[in-house]
Amino acid sequence: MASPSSLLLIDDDPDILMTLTAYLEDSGYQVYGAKDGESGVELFARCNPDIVITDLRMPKLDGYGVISAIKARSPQTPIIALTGTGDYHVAGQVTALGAWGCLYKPLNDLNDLILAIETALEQSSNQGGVT
Amino acid sequence: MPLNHATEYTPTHHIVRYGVIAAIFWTLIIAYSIFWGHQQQQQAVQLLGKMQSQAFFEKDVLYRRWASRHGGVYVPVSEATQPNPYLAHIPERDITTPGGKHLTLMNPAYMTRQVFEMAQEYTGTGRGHITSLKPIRPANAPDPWETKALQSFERGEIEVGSLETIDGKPYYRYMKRLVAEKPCLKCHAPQGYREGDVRGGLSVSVPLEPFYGMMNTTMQSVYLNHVLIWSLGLIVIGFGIHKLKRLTTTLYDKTTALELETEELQQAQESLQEQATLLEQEIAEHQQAEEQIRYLKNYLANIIDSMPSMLVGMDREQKVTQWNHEAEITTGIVARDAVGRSIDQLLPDFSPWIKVMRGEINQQRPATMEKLLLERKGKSSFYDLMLYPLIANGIEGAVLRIEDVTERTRIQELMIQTEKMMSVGGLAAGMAHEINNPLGVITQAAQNIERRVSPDLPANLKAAEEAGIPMSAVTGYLERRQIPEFVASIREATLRASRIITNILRFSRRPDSAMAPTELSGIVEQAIELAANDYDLKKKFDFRSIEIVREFTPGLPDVPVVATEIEQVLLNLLKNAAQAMIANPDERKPCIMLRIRQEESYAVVEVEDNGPGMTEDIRRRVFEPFFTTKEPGIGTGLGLSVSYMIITQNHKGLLEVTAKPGTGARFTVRLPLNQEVSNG
Repeated sequence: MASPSSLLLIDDDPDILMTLTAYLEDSGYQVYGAKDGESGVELFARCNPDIVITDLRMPKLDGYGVISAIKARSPQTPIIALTGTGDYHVAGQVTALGAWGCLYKPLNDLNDLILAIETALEQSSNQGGVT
Repeated sequence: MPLNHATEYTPTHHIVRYGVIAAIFWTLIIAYSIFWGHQQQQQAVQLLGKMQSQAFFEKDVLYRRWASRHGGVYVPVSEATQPNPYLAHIPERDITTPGGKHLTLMNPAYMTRQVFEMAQEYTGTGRGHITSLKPIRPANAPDPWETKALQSFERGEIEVGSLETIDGKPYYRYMKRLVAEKPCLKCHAPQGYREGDVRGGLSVSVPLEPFYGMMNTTMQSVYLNHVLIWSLGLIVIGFGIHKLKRLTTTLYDKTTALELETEELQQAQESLQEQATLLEQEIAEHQQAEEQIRYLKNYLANIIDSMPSMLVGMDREQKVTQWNHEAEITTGIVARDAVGRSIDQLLPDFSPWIKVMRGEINQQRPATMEKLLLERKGKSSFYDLMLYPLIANGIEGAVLRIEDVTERTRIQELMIQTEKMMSVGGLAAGMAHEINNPLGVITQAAQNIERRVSPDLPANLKAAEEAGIPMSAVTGYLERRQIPEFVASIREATLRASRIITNILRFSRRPDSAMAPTELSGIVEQAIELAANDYDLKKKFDFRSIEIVREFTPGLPDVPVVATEIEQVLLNLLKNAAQAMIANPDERKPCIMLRIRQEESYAVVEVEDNGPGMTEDIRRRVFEPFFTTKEPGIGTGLGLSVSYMIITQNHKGLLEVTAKPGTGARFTVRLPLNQEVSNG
């Protein structure tokens, strides 16, 4: 990859947003942050990131809405859902909408997140996604 | 013997028959004796005839020899005695005595012929005849009998004799060969005979009539004697038969009487036998009753001894009268030693409570005390006690039952604790998001701190430089003040908190839990899919590398369950199995056996792994909340207890585990097929 991968992060909790952004930037990603679903979808349209990470329970537009909207616009962009509900059915639901997978908060090892992002990116480029 | 109608059996019939047979035999013997006697007489007559014939013969031959030795004799010629024309060739055949008497030579044959002719005039004496197959005088030719005899001489016979009839009278005919002697050749040489040749024979016929007369006389007396003997025999037989008949009749009568007696005796014996049989039956019944009593006694003793509780009988003085097997095991005192001793002495631990209960049963009612805690050898156990009076007439005393309810109490407490956990879980589910987010911030912030104080990140070096502090100084300071350790403990604590919450959430009761008939295999497949997607598991190893063997009995009816809850239980069991098999050696490929079947009114789901299994101590505790054998951070120890709760409480089913070290573990879920569909 010539330029660093760009990443859209959507979460209504500013502290989550802040700490994750810091970690992902330190890991070499270009991170765009959005504090709700609506602005997240807007931001996606503007900056066209390589991958999207989104919370599920948010005001205005929740994570399921975000997944649907982004998938409609750009089906090949991998999306990883982040949930604090702890409900293991979520993984099934978001995958059904087209998301790559689901991670549960709290992320006790952020390396898991990096691994997930790398895997998802690799898989989408392998599947011949045109970016 | 009348045969045409049925007659009364008389044994004398036989005897008469034997008598007749004996008479016939006797008659036959006598007849034979007569016949034999007759034969003897005949033979005697024949012998006499033969002997006389031989005598004649010898005499004749002697005469002839005499005559021939003298070369014949001269006799006067008479009318009857003419010169023999066959001697014409002999010189001096005819001579004349000086007295003028004419004499002619007579040869032996001529002489004997004349003698025989003379003899014929006297009837009753023997007759002789000299003959030959080649007679000189044709009149001397043989008759047929003689011809046969002469022919036999030529074959070498010397003499022939037989009984013949001549003119209707019996004769003994005898013939012997005549051998040519020297004097004979005087006349016979021209015929070609030499000395020693058989020239012919002389036959003699002896009349047997006088002998037969003699014989008849003898036979008459023989007949008379025989008739006498025969009659005597018959009389003896008749008399014997008569006597035998009388004897037999008597014997028969006596036998009949004896038979009657025997029959009576047999009847008596039979009735005796009957009585004996009755007696035997009575004895058998008695024995059976005894056996039943013995069996019942054993059976009751067995019931008492097989009871998994201590059962102690005592009399009014609190002395032990009954001490069962469990009491022996628990106290180590055998029944033999226990009986007769005081209960307080035998069970000192329980004695204070027994005293209390003793007061209560004075009202003739059972007294009970439950869950009494007893600390023994550092182990606390719970007991239920029951004391009840004996109510049967004539026996005074009481029975004490002591039951170890430690295990039951433990399970009950486990249930209470799990129930509590689930209530908390339900409560927590509503605010899971609110808890997880702050936990997320804490752990993420801590991880950022860890990384941003690390000398490995180029950005860190740059920031330190800008702040005018060398990175090494920063690191030195932080370490001196244990900052990394604090940060690590923040992360550790967050991890623990999040795991507990995650598990509570995962197994908490949800508002949408309604029971509905569901196909079990569908739920199992769903659980397998969830396990395969589980990120916690994914980190450790690929769930897909585990071999899953399905043994699903087809045609199982739908089971009324809260599908999400059963899914949770199965997911948990699958994860549990997967985690257990991480430690499997290479040669034992991880394998999970999944079985679905029906057992009576239960649907059964089994999850069996081929992991290391577990010891009995662990097996007994696996459903306890917060009990875990996993390393910190892997399991919370809530999964199995919540699963237990879901199955037993929410679904009124059963969850069991069978396991031994080294053979894997098998969890069995039993769900009732017939249960009212209601909200769980």
